[in-house]
Amino acid sequence: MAVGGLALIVVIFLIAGFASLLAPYDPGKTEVSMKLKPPSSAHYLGTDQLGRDVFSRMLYGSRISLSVGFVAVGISIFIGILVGAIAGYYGRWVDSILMRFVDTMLCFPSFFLILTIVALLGPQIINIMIIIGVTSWMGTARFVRAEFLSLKERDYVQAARALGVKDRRIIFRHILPNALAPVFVSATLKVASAILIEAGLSFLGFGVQPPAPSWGNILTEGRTYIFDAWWLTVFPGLAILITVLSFNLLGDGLRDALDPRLRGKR
Amino acid sequence: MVAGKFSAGYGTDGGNSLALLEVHNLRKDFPVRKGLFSGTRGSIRAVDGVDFELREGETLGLVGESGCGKTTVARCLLRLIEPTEGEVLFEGEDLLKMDREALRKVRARFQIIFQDPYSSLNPRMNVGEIIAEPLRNHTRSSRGEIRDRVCFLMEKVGLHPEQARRYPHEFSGGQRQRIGIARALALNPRVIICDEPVSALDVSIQAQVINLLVQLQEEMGLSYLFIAHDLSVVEHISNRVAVMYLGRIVELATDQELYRNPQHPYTQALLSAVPVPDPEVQQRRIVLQGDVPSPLNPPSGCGFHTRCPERIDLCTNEVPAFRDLGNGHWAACHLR
Repeated sequence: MAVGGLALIVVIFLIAGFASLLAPYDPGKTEVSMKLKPPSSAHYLGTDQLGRDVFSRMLYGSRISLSVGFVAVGISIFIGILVGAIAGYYGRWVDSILMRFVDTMLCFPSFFLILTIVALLGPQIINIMIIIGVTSWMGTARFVRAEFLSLKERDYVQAARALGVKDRRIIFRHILPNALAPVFVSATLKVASAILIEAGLSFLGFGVQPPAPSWGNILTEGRTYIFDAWWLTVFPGLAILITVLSFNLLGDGLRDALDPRLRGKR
Repeated sequence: MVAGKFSAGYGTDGGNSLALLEVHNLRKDFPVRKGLFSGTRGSIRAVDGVDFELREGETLGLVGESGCGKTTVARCLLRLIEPTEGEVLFEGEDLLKMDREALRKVRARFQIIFQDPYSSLNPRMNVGEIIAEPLRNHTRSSRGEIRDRVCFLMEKVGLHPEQARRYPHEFSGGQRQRIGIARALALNPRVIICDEPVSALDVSIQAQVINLLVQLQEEMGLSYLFIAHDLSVVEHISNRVAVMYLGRIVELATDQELYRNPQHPYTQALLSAVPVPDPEVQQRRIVLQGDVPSPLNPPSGCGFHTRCPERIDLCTNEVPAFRDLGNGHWAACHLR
């Protein structure tokens, strides 16, 4: 299963990489006479309200959606692991301060926080990635902290302390590798939610700016025609679903592959 | 506290070897909190004024039932738990006053072996890495030197050096405990705390591990603080034995003296519970009534008075002093 997930991801990446070769039409080219046509041999996935080829738009859109998903999640789990590890390992007042900060961050409705920042900084793709990243690390921080709290009491961590191993090495060599499995699995889910947040931003006009396509804005533009032109919402939805699914499968596989106890058993 | 109290040495038989480790009035209270806004409700007296010394090359057994504070003592000595109060002199220096870096350096010569061989090894490091870790941290050895040392240590504890690439889950409990021992030995320590090193193992494996510890002690001149709840295991390995009850040491003597002539009623009860593998022997068992009192609310006077078969009025009011009964035999009881 995990190998299947990996294979799917490779395929998705290849598609994104070679979008310009694979796309039969220019994704921005409008042709009003061809608007809202259902899937056919000319337009595999139909056309949208401006007569643009949905298939070509989705191929190009995959680049933006995947890179937003990846970079945002990368930023998010980096911050989350750092904050969670420090809070969980050092405990006491360090923990209190960091966790209250996490609580504060969680109090903000994150979507409005994102909107505010986008409004201030402008809707460039790089800003969107960073903003999604810095507003979604709190969950990761919380459970990395929880893992650290339980793992730091294990005898092998106590043994490392008794051996005079330095804090940094205890954190990164002894505790973190044992705490990462759930982080990976949740990161794969976060890729999905980052893609969806980007879609939501696009819907409100703060995301990837039209006419540049992303799965999110194809989906949200198509929402208006959901009863007349199902292909406008179903295909981008399916693309997101398949991507998320394959990341989840990969996440599971990674967790097993990273655990020496499960290595070589199947 | 009388200054000259320690000069004679608890329970020593007049030997003149030096004390490597001296523990004076060690205390550990764990605060018990009620809730977010209220303060501390009270505290658990896990260790309540423990004194002993460990001499060069000897094994001091520390016995007592579950929850009496044995493991807390072990962890306080190494400052894996910060003690509330007391002194821990290792080679004459107080560990409790050291800063982090000094403590880190001292820990090279002061090691611990844990009870549970399953949780004391990092599941994501192979055996070679586990044993090499202290070397990487404290020495500037090259890769080759570290590899040689790891091989040497593995052979020393009875493992095959070819197994260095394997992971802990591929080993049995006894083998894992050997890995833990090799790790503790890596930096040539002088003192090793053995925190119930065999109580998680099968009886047949227990003997092997104990014999290994005895053999290593002879070869490397180690001193052990050997913690156990099994008196027969302690008898086999110890020179002197201390008995703990409710956070205090109640009796301390050489092992022969303690087993032949126990003075404290608690020790007597403990020894009467050791099974003798001979059906002909009629044992007189002293069965204690009740449970160990909660350390959250310890009894007044002698901690053992609630269960003591020989209790007198004085016991409920006054904490008995830990006195030398002669011949290096110390006990804390008003009646002796």
